[in-house]
Amino acid sequence: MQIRICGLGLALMLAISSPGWGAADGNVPPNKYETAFQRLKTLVGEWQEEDEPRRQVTYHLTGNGSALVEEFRGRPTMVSVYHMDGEALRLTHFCNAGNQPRMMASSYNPASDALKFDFVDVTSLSSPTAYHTRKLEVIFQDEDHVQLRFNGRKKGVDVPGEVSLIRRR
Amino acid sequence: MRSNLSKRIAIMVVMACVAMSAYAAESAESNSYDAALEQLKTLVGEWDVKDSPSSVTYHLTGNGTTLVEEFRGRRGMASVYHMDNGNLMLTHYCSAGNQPRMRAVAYDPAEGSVKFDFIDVTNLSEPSAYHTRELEILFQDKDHVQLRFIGQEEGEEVAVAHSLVRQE
Repeated sequence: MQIRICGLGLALMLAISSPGWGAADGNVPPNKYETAFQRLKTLVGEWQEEDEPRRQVTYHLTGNGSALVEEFRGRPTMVSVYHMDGEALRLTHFCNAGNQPRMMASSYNPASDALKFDFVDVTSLSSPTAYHTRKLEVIFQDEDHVQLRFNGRKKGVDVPGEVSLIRRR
Repeated sequence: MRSNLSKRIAIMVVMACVAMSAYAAESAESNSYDAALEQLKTLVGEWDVKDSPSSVTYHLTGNGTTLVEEFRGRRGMASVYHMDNGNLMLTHYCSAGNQPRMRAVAYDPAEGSVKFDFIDVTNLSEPSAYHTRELEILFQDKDHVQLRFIGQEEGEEVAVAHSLVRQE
Protein backbone atom coordinates (compact mmCIF):
# COMPACT_ATOMS: atom_id res chain seq x y z
CA MET A 1 0.00 0.00 0.00
CA GLN A 2 2.78 2.40 1.00
CA ILE A 3 4.65 1.52 -2.19
CA ARG A 4 1.49 2.18 -4.28
CA ILE A 5 1.01 5.66 -2.68
CA CYS A 6 4.69 6.46 -3.28
CA GLY A 7 4.32 5.30 -6.90
CA LEU A 8 1.24 7.48 -7.42
CA GLY A 9 3.00 10.45 -5.84
CA LEU A 10 6.04 9.94 -8.08
CA ALA A 11 3.84 9.64 -11.20
CA LEU A 12 2.00 12.86 -10.25
CA MET A 13 5.28 14.71 -9.66
CA LEU A 14 6.64 13.52 -13.02
CA ALA A 15 3.43 14.60 -14.76
CA ILE A 16 3.56 18.06 -13.19
CA SER A 17 7.22 18.57 -13.96
CA SER A 18 7.05 17.26 -17.54
CA PRO A 19 7.39 19.87 -20.31
CA GLY A 20 3.89 19.15 -21.54
CA TRP A 21 2.26 20.14 -18.24
CA GLY A 22 -0.15 22.96 -18.83
CA ALA A 23 0.12 22.55 -22.60
CA ALA A 24 -3.45 21.28 -22.94
CA ASP A 25 -4.82 24.81 -22.42
CA GLY A 26 -2.06 26.38 -24.51
CA ASN A 27 -0.26 27.88 -21.49
CA VAL A 28 3.16 26.48 -22.32
CA PRO A 29 5.73 28.40 -20.27
CA PRO A 30 8.09 30.30 -22.58
CA ASN A 31 11.70 29.20 -22.73
CA LYS A 32 14.17 31.39 -20.86
CA TYR A 33 15.41 33.18 -23.97
CA GLU A 34 11.85 34.04 -25.03
CA THR A 35 11.49 35.54 -21.53
CA ALA A 36 14.79 37.38 -22.02
CA PHE A 37 13.57 38.75 -25.36
CA GLN A 38 10.37 40.00 -23.73
CA ARG A 39 12.57 41.67 -21.10
CA LEU A 40 14.63 43.34 -23.84
CA LYS A 41 11.43 44.66 -25.42
CA THR A 42 10.72 46.64 -22.23
CA LEU A 43 13.61 48.90 -23.34
CA VAL A 44 11.47 50.39 -26.14
CA GLY A 45 11.76 54.18 -25.88
CA GLU A 46 14.35 56.94 -25.79
CA TRP A 47 17.56 56.70 -23.76
CA GLN A 48 20.75 58.65 -23.30
CA GLU A 49 24.22 57.83 -22.06
CA GLU A 50 24.56 58.65 -18.39
CA ASP A 51 27.95 60.38 -18.85
CA GLU A 52 27.20 61.96 -22.22
CA PRO A 53 23.56 63.12 -22.59
CA ARG A 54 24.14 64.19 -26.21
CA ARG A 55 24.67 60.56 -27.16
CA GLN A 56 21.18 59.15 -27.52
CA VAL A 57 19.92 55.64 -27.99
CA THR A 58 16.53 54.50 -29.20
CA TYR A 59 14.89 51.10 -28.97
CA HIS A 60 11.97 50.27 -31.22
CA LEU A 61 10.25 47.22 -32.65
CA THR A 62 10.05 46.17 -36.28
CA GLY A 63 9.14 42.99 -38.19
CA ASN A 64 5.63 42.95 -36.72
CA GLY A 65 7.10 42.99 -33.20
CA SER A 66 9.53 40.12 -33.91
CA ALA A 67 12.72 42.23 -33.88
CA LEU A 68 14.05 44.89 -31.50
CA VAL A 69 16.24 47.62 -33.01
CA GLU A 70 18.75 49.36 -30.73
CA GLU A 71 20.18 52.47 -32.34
CA PHE A 72 23.04 54.65 -31.12
CA ARG A 73 22.71 58.11 -32.65
CA GLY A 74 25.39 60.76 -32.53
CA ARG A 75 28.98 59.59 -32.48
CA PRO A 76 29.51 56.72 -32.91
CA THR A 77 26.45 55.55 -34.83
CA MET A 78 25.66 51.88 -34.64
CA VAL A 79 22.71 49.52 -34.59
CA SER A 80 22.02 46.12 -33.05
CA VAL A 81 18.97 44.05 -33.93
CA TYR A 82 17.74 41.38 -31.50
CA HIS A 83 15.34 38.58 -32.48
CA MET A 84 14.41 35.00 -31.73
CA ASP A 85 15.62 32.09 -33.88
CA GLY A 86 13.47 29.18 -32.74
CA GLU A 87 14.37 28.92 -29.04
CA ALA A 88 17.61 30.87 -29.43
CA LEU A 89 17.96 34.62 -28.99
CA ARG A 90 20.26 36.28 -31.49
CA LEU A 91 21.59 39.69 -32.34
CA THR A 92 23.46 41.26 -35.22
CA HIS A 93 25.60 44.25 -34.30
CA PHE A 94 26.09 46.69 -37.21
CA CYS A 95 29.20 48.19 -35.68
CA ASN A 96 30.82 51.57 -36.29
CA ALA A 97 34.02 49.55 -36.85
CA GLY A 98 32.43 48.61 -40.19
CA ASN A 99 31.87 44.93 -39.48
CA GLN A 100 28.79 43.00 -38.38
CA PRO A 101 29.30 40.37 -35.68
CA ARG A 102 26.38 38.04 -34.96
CA MET A 103 25.94 36.77 -31.40
CA MET A 104 23.68 34.32 -29.60
CA ALA A 105 22.41 34.53 -26.01
CA SER A 106 24.40 32.12 -23.84
CA SER A 107 22.84 32.83 -20.44
CA TYR A 108 19.97 34.72 -18.86
CA ASN A 109 19.55 35.07 -15.13
CA PRO A 110 16.14 36.58 -14.26
CA ALA A 111 17.25 37.00 -10.61
CA SER A 112 20.23 39.21 -11.45
CA ASP A 113 18.46 40.44 -14.60
CA ALA A 114 21.57 39.91 -16.72
CA LEU A 115 21.67 38.58 -20.26
CA LYS A 116 24.88 37.43 -21.96
CA PHE A 117 25.59 37.01 -25.67
CA ASP A 118 28.54 35.20 -27.24
CA PHE A 119 30.08 35.47 -30.69
CA VAL A 120 28.75 33.33 -33.56
CA ASP A 121 30.35 34.80 -36.72
CA VAL A 122 31.15 38.10 -38.41
CA THR A 123 30.84 39.68 -41.86
CA SER A 124 33.01 42.37 -43.43
CA LEU A 125 35.99 41.80 -41.13
CA SER A 126 38.91 43.51 -42.90
CA SER A 127 41.48 41.11 -41.39
CA PRO A 128 41.31 38.33 -38.77
CA THR A 129 43.00 40.61 -36.22
CA ALA A 130 40.78 43.65 -36.87
CA TYR A 131 38.65 44.93 -34.01
CA HIS A 132 35.26 43.26 -33.67
CA THR A 133 32.84 42.83 -30.80
CA ARG A 134 32.63 39.25 -29.48
CA LYS A 135 30.52 39.49 -26.33
CA LEU A 136 27.74 41.60 -24.93
CA GLU A 137 26.17 41.61 -21.49
CA VAL A 138 22.92 43.52 -20.91
CA ILE A 139 22.34 44.31 -17.24
CA PHE A 140 18.86 45.60 -16.39
CA GLN A 141 19.37 47.72 -13.26
CA ASP A 142 15.81 49.02 -12.98
CA GLU A 143 13.11 50.22 -15.41
CA ASP A 144 15.08 53.38 -16.21
CA HIS A 145 18.68 52.19 -16.05
CA VAL A 146 20.47 49.59 -18.12
CA GLN A 147 24.11 48.84 -18.67
CA LEU A 148 25.64 47.39 -21.84
CA ARG A 149 29.03 45.73 -21.41
CA PHE A 150 30.82 44.98 -24.67
CA ASN A 151 33.89 42.88 -25.10
CA GLY A 152 35.75 43.14 -28.36
CA ARG A 153 39.04 41.80 -29.66
CA LYS A 154 41.84 43.48 -31.59
CA LYS A 155 45.10 41.78 -32.54
CA GLY A 156 44.28 38.96 -30.11
CA VAL A 157 43.81 41.29 -27.14
CA ASP A 158 40.46 41.76 -25.36
CA VAL A 159 39.02 45.28 -25.55
CA PRO A 160 36.27 45.82 -22.97
CA GLY A 161 33.83 48.72 -23.02
CA GLU A 162 30.65 49.67 -21.24
CA VAL A 163 27.82 52.13 -21.64
CA SER A 164 25.32 53.09 -18.94
CA LEU A 165 21.97 54.24 -20.29
CA ILE A 166 19.27 56.23 -18.54
CA ARG A 167 15.71 56.49 -19.89
CA ARG A 168 14.70 59.93 -21.19
CA ARG A 169 11.51 61.34 -19.70
CA MET B 1 67.03 23.99 -76.10
CA ARG B 2 66.10 27.52 -77.19
CA SER B 3 62.70 26.27 -78.40
CA ASN B 4 61.99 24.72 -74.95
CA LEU B 5 62.90 27.97 -73.21
CA SER B 6 60.61 29.94 -75.54
CA LYS B 7 57.75 27.53 -74.84
CA ARG B 8 58.29 27.89 -71.09
CA ILE B 9 58.32 31.67 -71.31
CA ALA B 10 55.19 31.64 -73.47
CA ILE B 11 53.38 29.38 -70.95
CA MET B 12 54.42 31.64 -68.05
CA VAL B 13 53.19 34.74 -69.90
CA VAL B 14 49.83 33.08 -70.65
CA MET B 15 49.47 31.98 -66.99
CA ALA B 16 50.28 35.49 -65.77
CA CYS B 17 47.71 36.96 -68.16
CA VAL B 18 45.04 34.50 -66.98
CA ALA B 19 45.80 35.28 -63.31
CA MET B 20 45.73 39.03 -63.97
CA SER B 21 42.44 38.89 -65.86
CA ALA B 22 40.87 36.73 -63.11
CA TYR B 23 42.06 39.24 -60.49
CA ALA B 24 40.79 42.13 -62.62
CA ALA B 25 37.39 40.46 -63.06
CA GLU B 26 37.08 39.78 -59.32
CA SER B 27 38.20 43.29 -58.50
CA ALA B 28 35.74 44.79 -61.02
CA GLU B 29 32.91 42.73 -59.51
CA SER B 30 33.84 43.93 -55.98
CA ASN B 31 33.97 47.50 -57.20
CA SER B 32 30.66 46.98 -58.93
CA TYR B 33 28.97 46.06 -55.64
CA ASP B 34 30.70 48.93 -53.86
CA ALA B 35 29.11 51.14 -56.51
CA ALA B 36 25.76 49.42 -55.91
CA LEU B 37 25.96 50.23 -52.18
CA GLU B 38 26.86 53.83 -53.04
CA GLN B 39 23.77 54.03 -55.26
CA LEU B 40 21.65 52.51 -52.47
CA LYS B 41 22.97 55.21 -50.12
CA THR B 42 21.43 57.87 -52.38
CA LEU B 43 18.06 56.65 -51.04
CA VAL B 44 18.74 58.25 -47.63
CA GLY B 45 15.65 60.23 -46.67
CA GLU B 46 11.91 59.86 -46.24
CA TRP B 47 9.67 58.06 -48.75
CA ASP B 48 5.98 57.36 -49.27
CA VAL B 49 4.74 54.00 -50.46
CA LYS B 50 2.40 54.40 -53.44
CA ASP B 51 -1.16 53.16 -52.75
CA SER B 52 -0.33 52.47 -49.09
CA PRO B 53 -0.43 54.40 -45.80
CA SER B 54 3.08 53.10 -44.98
CA SER B 55 6.18 55.24 -45.18
CA VAL B 56 9.81 54.26 -45.52
CA THR B 57 12.97 55.83 -44.15
CA TYR B 58 16.54 55.19 -45.23
CA HIS B 59 19.41 56.22 -43.02
CA LEU B 60 23.06 55.34 -42.48
CA THR B 61 24.62 53.77 -39.42
CA GLY B 62 27.83 51.89 -38.54
CA ASN B 63 29.95 54.96 -39.31
CA GLY B 64 28.42 55.16 -42.80
CA THR B 65 29.10 51.51 -43.65
CA THR B 66 25.49 50.33 -43.31
CA LEU B 67 22.18 51.45 -44.81
CA VAL B 68 18.99 50.86 -42.80
CA GLU B 69 15.69 50.72 -44.70
CA GLU B 70 12.67 50.86 -42.45
CA PHE B 71 9.02 50.41 -43.40
CA ARG B 72 6.86 52.10 -40.80
CA GLY B 73 3.20 51.24 -40.62
CA ARG B 74 0.93 48.69 -39.08
CA ARG B 75 3.35 45.73 -39.07
CA GLY B 76 6.70 47.28 -39.86
CA MET B 77 9.76 45.69 -41.40
CA ALA B 78 13.39 46.61 -41.92
CA SER B 79 16.31 45.65 -44.13
CA VAL B 80 19.96 46.39 -43.43
CA TYR B 81 22.45 46.61 -46.33
CA HIS B 82 26.23 46.44 -46.04
CA MET B 83 29.37 45.15 -47.75
CA ASP B 84 31.03 41.86 -46.84
CA ASN B 85 34.51 41.83 -48.38
CA GLY B 86 33.45 42.62 -51.92
CA ASN B 87 29.92 41.22 -51.61
CA LEU B 88 26.85 43.33 -50.95
CA MET B 89 24.55 41.75 -48.37
CA LEU B 90 21.27 42.45 -46.67
CA THR B 91 19.37 41.08 -43.72
CA HIS B 92 15.61 41.47 -43.99
CA TYR B 93 13.74 41.71 -40.66
CA CYS B 94 10.44 40.62 -42.11
CA SER B 95 6.93 41.24 -40.81
CA ALA B 96 6.52 37.47 -41.26
CA GLY B 97 8.76 37.17 -38.16
CA ASN B 98 11.77 35.58 -39.88
CA GLN B 99 15.06 37.09 -41.05
CA PRO B 100 16.37 36.03 -44.48
CA ARG B 101 19.85 37.13 -45.52
CA MET B 102 20.53 37.82 -49.19
CA ARG B 103 23.56 38.62 -51.35
CA ALA B 104 23.69 40.82 -54.45
CA VAL B 105 24.07 38.70 -57.58
CA ALA B 106 23.72 41.38 -60.27
CA TYR B 107 24.11 45.14 -60.57
CA ASP B 108 23.38 47.02 -63.76
CA PRO B 109 24.30 50.70 -63.33
CA ALA B 110 22.92 51.58 -66.80
CA GLU B 111 19.50 50.15 -66.02
CA GLY B 112 19.76 51.15 -62.36
CA SER B 113 18.92 47.75 -60.90
CA VAL B 114 20.42 45.54 -58.21
CA LYS B 115 19.30 41.96 -57.58
CA PHE B 116 19.68 39.96 -54.37
CA ASP B 117 19.37 36.19 -53.89
CA PHE B 118 18.73 34.12 -50.78
CA ILE B 119 21.64 32.93 -48.57
CA ASP B 120 19.95 31.64 -45.40
CA VAL B 121 17.20 32.45 -42.91
CA THR B 122 16.71 32.52 -39.13
CA ASN B 123 13.50 31.94 -37.17
CA LEU B 124 11.68 30.13 -39.97
CA SER B 125 8.79 28.42 -38.18
CA GLU B 126 8.82 25.54 -40.69
CA PRO B 127 10.51 24.94 -44.06
CA SER B 128 7.33 25.74 -46.02
CA ALA B 129 6.57 28.97 -44.09
CA TYR B 130 6.59 32.25 -46.00
CA HIS B 131 9.99 33.87 -46.35
CA THR B 132 11.49 36.32 -48.83
CA ARG B 133 14.07 34.80 -51.18
CA GLU B 134 14.79 37.51 -53.75
CA LEU B 135 14.77 41.27 -53.95
CA GLU B 136 15.21 43.50 -56.97
CA ILE B 137 15.65 47.26 -56.54
CA LEU B 138 14.93 49.42 -59.58
CA PHE B 139 16.14 53.01 -59.38
CA GLN B 140 13.74 54.82 -61.71
CA ASP B 141 14.95 58.34 -60.98
CA LYS B 142 16.21 60.14 -57.88
CA ASP B 143 12.69 60.40 -56.47
CA HIS B 144 11.23 57.04 -57.55
CA VAL B 145 12.35 53.54 -56.71
CA GLN B 146 10.66 50.17 -56.89
CA LEU B 147 11.32 47.21 -54.58
CA ARG B 148 10.27 43.81 -55.94
CA PHE B 149 10.23 41.07 -53.35
CA ILE B 150 9.82 37.42 -54.27
CA GLY B 151 8.96 35.09 -51.42
CA GLN B 152 8.06 31.47 -51.13
CA GLU B 153 5.26 29.82 -49.18
CA GLU B 154 4.45 26.11 -49.34
CA GLY B 155 6.64 25.82 -52.43
CA GLU B 156 4.78 28.57 -54.32
CA GLU B 157 6.31 31.90 -55.34
CA VAL B 158 4.74 35.02 -53.85
CA ALA B 159 5.63 38.31 -55.56
CA VAL B 160 5.12 41.72 -53.92
CA ALA B 161 6.20 45.10 -55.35
CA HIS B 162 6.39 48.44 -53.54
CA SER B 163 6.75 51.70 -55.45
CA LEU B 164 8.36 54.42 -53.37
CA VAL B 165 8.14 58.17 -53.98
CA ARG B 166 10.47 60.53 -52.17
CA GLN B 167 8.69 62.90 -49.77
CA GLU B 168 9.05 66.56 -50.65
